[in-house]
Amino acid sequence: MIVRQSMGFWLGCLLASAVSSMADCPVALFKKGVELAERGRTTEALQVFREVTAKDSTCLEGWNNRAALEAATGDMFGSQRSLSKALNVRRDVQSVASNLEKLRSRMARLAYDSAFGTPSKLPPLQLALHKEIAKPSKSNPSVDADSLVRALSNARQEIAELTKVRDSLLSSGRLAQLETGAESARSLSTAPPPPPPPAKSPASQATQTLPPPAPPPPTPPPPPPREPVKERSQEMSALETVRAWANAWSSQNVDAYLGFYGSTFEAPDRMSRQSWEARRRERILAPKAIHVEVVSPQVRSLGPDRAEVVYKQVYQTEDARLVLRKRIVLTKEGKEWKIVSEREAR
Amino acid sequence: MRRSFRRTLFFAGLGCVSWVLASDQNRVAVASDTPESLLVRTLDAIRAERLDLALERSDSLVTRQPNFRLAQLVRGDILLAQNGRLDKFAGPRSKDPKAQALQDEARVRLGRYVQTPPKNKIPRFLLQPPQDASTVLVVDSRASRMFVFRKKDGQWSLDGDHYVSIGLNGPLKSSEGDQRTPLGVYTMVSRIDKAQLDPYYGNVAYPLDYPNDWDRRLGRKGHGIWVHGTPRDTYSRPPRASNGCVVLPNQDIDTLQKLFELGRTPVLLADSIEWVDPAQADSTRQVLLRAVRKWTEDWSSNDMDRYLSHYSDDFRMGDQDLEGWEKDKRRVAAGKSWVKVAVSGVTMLMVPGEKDLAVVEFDQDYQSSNLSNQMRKRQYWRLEDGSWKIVHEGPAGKSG
Repeated sequence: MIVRQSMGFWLGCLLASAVSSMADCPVALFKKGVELAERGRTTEALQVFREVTAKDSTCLEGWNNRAALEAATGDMFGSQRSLSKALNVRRDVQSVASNLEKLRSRMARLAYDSAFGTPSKLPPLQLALHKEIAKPSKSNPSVDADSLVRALSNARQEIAELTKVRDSLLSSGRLAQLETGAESARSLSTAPPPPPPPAKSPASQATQTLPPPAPPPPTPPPPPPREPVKERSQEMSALETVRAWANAWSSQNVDAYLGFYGSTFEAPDRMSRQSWEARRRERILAPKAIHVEVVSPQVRSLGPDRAEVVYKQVYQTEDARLVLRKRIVLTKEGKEWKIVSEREAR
Repeated sequence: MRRSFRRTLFFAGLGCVSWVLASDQNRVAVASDTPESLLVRTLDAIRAERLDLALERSDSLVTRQPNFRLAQLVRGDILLAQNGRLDKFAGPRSKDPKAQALQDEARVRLGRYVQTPPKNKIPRFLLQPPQDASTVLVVDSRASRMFVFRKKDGQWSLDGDHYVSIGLNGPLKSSEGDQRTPLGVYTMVSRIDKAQLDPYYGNVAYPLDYPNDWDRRLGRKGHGIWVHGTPRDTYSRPPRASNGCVVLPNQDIDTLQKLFELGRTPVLLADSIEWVDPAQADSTRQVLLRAVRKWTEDWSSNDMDRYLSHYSDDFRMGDQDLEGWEKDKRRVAAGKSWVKVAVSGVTMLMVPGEKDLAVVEFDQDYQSSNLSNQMRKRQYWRLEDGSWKIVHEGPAGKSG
């Protein structure tokens, strides 16, 4: 029993951290934005950096790049706002300050042109992009969401192992021994043979910040030996997909919206895919405007190519407001995440 | 940051906003939410060395009124000042001849907020505006301001004021093409709406009756003096920009035009306004009104010496001077056994740009032993050695 309780507590801590740490600069999305920008796909890149900054309002590089793209599309006020957001994160970043200076000079030029009625054709303003997200500073250690998610899935394995151990202990009548914490911890930690974690792995850093559970916890589970960047991009794009799906819904872009559903998606009420799509189209286009918000999403990996996103869905039209807890399951189809199940969460 | 502030204040000190430094006690009170008040608040933030706030206000101003050229210029200056790259008003464009004009616009617009129109005073011109007029417009050329007076409970009081542009070369029009705005008392004779109007004149135009009989007497030439709006790409023009017309921002003339009554609303074009207590204007009014009444009495007496004593040596009517006119009058009077003159509907306004000259209009009911007629008459009275004398006379409403 104690084993189960303590693990539950620990699991809860992990989950909580995993969710709160979703607000880190989403690296994969960021890189996608840089790539789009470098290929001159300004509008798409801008959309990506809007998402980046929406996810993490403290992502200085995201704000800077968003500003650069806003300037390139002629949205000077937007660019000005974004740069000042970047400077709110940190004042002393030279490249951001120099972008702001360039932007002000251009805006001054435009203002004078308006003042003197001498419009001039100027090339789009080019502000410097940040190609990389700077490493978080030591004073502000950021929790790595994906490592935590990995740790979480390892923890689940561990629970399974522990449960087995407990059951075998129970059956062998050694429960009393188990109830002395220290010993149980020692004996339990030896039960599964996890590989030793790398000394400075984000997961271990993160877990150090957790409050110590009442009974001694097992040693933090190590991340599996996978390539971290790949893992990260997979995890992030599942949530990104859900957000993009909600955006398509909000903008009543039915084709884009339907495009998020996988080939194996099961339409509710045994409807055919075709009639379900027709009904969705009708429903989505009926209101004058729709606003769908994805609130406090929790991402869970269900395997290498399968993930679950549970979130609070706030759906609003001019005459209706509906708040639901939703659970969406996505699988990888090629490089993209597709929705295979969408239902109300319990 | 420090350096850029100093530079901003340097630009302020160049004359555009010299009040900014001088008027620390003069709290800028800006009540309404007009583009001008936003501009003033922007400059107020510059004074407070809050460039960030100034930029914020300027952002909202140019978003709302992108064609407000002065606002754009100030915004350009703020941005360059933030970069520490502003050395003078209009920065890199300071040599543009338009920069001076915009600087003037800044000066007069700000002047209005530093020196607010005196409370409970009226321009000395307003002796007795027409009974049937609800509005009097008084333009102060020096301040680039149109003051709107409305009658409330029988009293004339200030109802609002608006930035205006006048002729490129200032007030006192005297010849065709001199690009000056007349000084005097005028009225709107017609209305030209947008459909018939060159876009250059904005949303609506009201031609004035320049030259009037006083202008003609003085040999002033020219025509086509209007009150009108601005082209679409221009919120306001510099203080001195027109060919002589009085130019209001479109949104101002749009709201004002419901007050404009053709042939009825006096439009006083002044170089500057002397504000006086209504009591002072009223005492002048009473003295002048007594003089007018005495003139009718003396005319009714058919005693030509008494009657002619009201006329100035400088009197003229049409081509006639006093001597020729006097001869005619005496001859006519000799043929009459009695005369009875009554006047009603008297209006009296001091004429801007003239010393102690009043324009007086009334309905004249003239009856005599051998002739009677009714007419609307206009006279110009001047205070000469302490008494009011008639210097010009003629039928009213035939000036345009």
